[in-house]
Amino acid sequence: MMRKREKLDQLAISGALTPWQEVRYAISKDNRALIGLAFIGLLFFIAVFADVIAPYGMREQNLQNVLQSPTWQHWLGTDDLGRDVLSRIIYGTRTSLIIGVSSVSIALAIGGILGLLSGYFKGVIDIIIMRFSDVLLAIPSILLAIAIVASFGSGMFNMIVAIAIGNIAIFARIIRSSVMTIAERQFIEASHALGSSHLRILVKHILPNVLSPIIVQSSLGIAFAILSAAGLGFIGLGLEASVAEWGLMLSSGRAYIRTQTYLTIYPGVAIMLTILAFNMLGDGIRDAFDPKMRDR
Amino acid sequence: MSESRVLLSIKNLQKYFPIPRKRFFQLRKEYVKANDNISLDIYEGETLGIVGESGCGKSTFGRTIIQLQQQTGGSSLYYGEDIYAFLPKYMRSIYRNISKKSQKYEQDIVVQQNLKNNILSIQTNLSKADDATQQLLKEQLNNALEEYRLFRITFEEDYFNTFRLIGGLAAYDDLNEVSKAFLKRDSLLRQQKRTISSSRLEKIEVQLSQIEHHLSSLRTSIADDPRFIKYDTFLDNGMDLSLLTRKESRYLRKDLQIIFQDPYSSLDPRSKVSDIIGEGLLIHKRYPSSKDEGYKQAILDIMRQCGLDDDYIHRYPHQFSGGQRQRIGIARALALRPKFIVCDEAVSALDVSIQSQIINLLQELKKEFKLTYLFITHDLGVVRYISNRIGVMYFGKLVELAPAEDIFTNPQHPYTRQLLNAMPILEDDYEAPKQWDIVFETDQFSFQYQTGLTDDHWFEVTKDHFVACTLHQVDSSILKEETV
Repeated sequence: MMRKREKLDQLAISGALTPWQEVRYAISKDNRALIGLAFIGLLFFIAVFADVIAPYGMREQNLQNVLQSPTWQHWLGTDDLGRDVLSRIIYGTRTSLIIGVSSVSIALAIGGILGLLSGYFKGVIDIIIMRFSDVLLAIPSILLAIAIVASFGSGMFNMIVAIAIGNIAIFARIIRSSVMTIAERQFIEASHALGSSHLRILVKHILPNVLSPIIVQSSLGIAFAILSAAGLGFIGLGLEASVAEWGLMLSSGRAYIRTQTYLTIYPGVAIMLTILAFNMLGDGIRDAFDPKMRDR
Repeated sequence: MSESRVLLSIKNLQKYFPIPRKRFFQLRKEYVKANDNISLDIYEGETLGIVGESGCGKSTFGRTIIQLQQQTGGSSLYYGEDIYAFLPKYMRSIYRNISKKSQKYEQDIVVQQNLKNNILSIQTNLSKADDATQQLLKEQLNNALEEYRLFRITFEEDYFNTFRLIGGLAAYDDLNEVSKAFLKRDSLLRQQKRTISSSRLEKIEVQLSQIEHHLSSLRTSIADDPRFIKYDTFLDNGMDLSLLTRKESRYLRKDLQIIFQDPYSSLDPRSKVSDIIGEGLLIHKRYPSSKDEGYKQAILDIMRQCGLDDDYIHRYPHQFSGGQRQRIGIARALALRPKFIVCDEAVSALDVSIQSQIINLLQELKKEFKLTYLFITHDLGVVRYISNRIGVMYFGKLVELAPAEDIFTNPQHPYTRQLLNAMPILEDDYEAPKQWDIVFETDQFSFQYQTGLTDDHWFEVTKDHFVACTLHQVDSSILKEETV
């Protein structure tokens, strides 16, 4: 193990690593990113093994034991139906992670491609894509999500799609503007001069140079996605109330915020820590991709 | 220089950038004329310097020649690649339209004759006119000449490429047959290029020799026709870069390269030196992948030739100084072993000691790889040292073109003189540079250069020394030499 690490250090100094190895190496040297990564790893572990870890069931009610402050039986207390808050947070990891990660991935994939195309080719393509995104942006994203869920029915998948659509325009806009500044740079012209195709320039030169805003926006987007899911749940268009989901727990705990503060604090802390972890990892990845930051 | 082979022949090159409409109902599109009516030949192995003030279109000219920006008019003939091996797509459309073109040609010849007659009649009137009407007639004459010139530009664009490809056969009676024969040969050549199987190749070669035979028999059948002889002088194997498709001109970038001015923004900050220099090699499929052993060796070779250490190969651009970055830029351009390189202010961003290093490097590489340079700069000292010939640009036009020393010892155009007068004088210069008088009018010609619009004739002052001017006496030879 030790020997492998030393060898890697040497290779990194001589610069003989492939780009991916370089990124991995840089992350392995970045404590902040490692903490983020470890926490996200933990979250995924919890999400997968929620059934084993959780002391109580997700829907297990105990009406004799409602609104209990934290005790040894219920570490984080119970809610208004006597459900164990800790167990629900553990089960909620699963739903919240799925909603956050998959809606951002969908939004990033579609918005990213649209943004790349419209920033790079400009002209008619740009006008069409941007007017389309103006339409999406003109409607408040929560209203848009309500409209979509209301017309296609509630459920996990529809909700993910609804949140993703609200985010597409934001991703497209941000990526478009970064692409436009990069496309003006001379190294793009230099690549044209070598005979590169548009695809090659987009993938090899533009994309690596617009990674920073993409990563920042994605880690923020996950947070927003979890909160929008809560918003949808609050007005009864999200998941059914019995499903454990952080945002939902947060909003249903609001009624007891004066007396049972922990009902909102614990899911809130869970959301915050998750977002913090994604941001830390995101920052680490961003720096790892940037050769200039890597040297520091 | 004129004995050596022409590499690029540029005729009436034009690059207009459209200005977005200011008003919705503006009918006429307006243009920025970045390059207008530039004609010159670039010889193999020479360094042609282009000087001029900022914003005069020098850089646009460099980019337009290599079709990094498509030219909007005129033709740029490239002789570095055999057109019959390259087989650009435009050949086919020319062959297809031979007979259509010839009908329009007959009409245009009449139009041309009318324009010429008009000029000649104004001239005869002018010689008889008294002082009062003379001014008016002179104006008329200028207008008529301008009209004729513009007509000639579109005329040449319309027909000369056809003449270049089919030569004297344009005089053949049945042009449909000529068109068919050429198209047949074209498709056979394309097949030949694609086919690998030797048995099919043999068949194609037999057919090809038949069609060649057919074409030469067509030629001999009208060999005595004076029109045949006239048109056949146009036969030429230059490839018109302005007609290439995007894909074709992308392919030609292996021959036509550019070195940029700013060594900081011209290198991708996220690419390693090896990827920057090797990109062209991969694009043009010189090596199958970046893992190929030969690929790495090729990069190391070119790096050594450009004075870069081997262990720089894994570094990123921000780890280098300006001079080293420029060397990387040069290595990138040279990796494909191009024939022609545009150096767009390639040393202007560097400090003086590094400048001289880079210039010497360029000179060495030129010798080694038999390169041809178009050296764009505003630094007269540099251009004098490095160039064989110098072209002076002013407001998008070429105003003077001469061997390098001639520009400095015998400048003709007032703008050139102004440029030379503006050269800084150092106090302890052993020989203060001469201050030139700005002359706007001589016996033979005048310069309208402040308006920048009417100087459209090339006058040969001494051998190979040309200057753009307005001729006083419209020599009828101008009209005569363009008989086609």
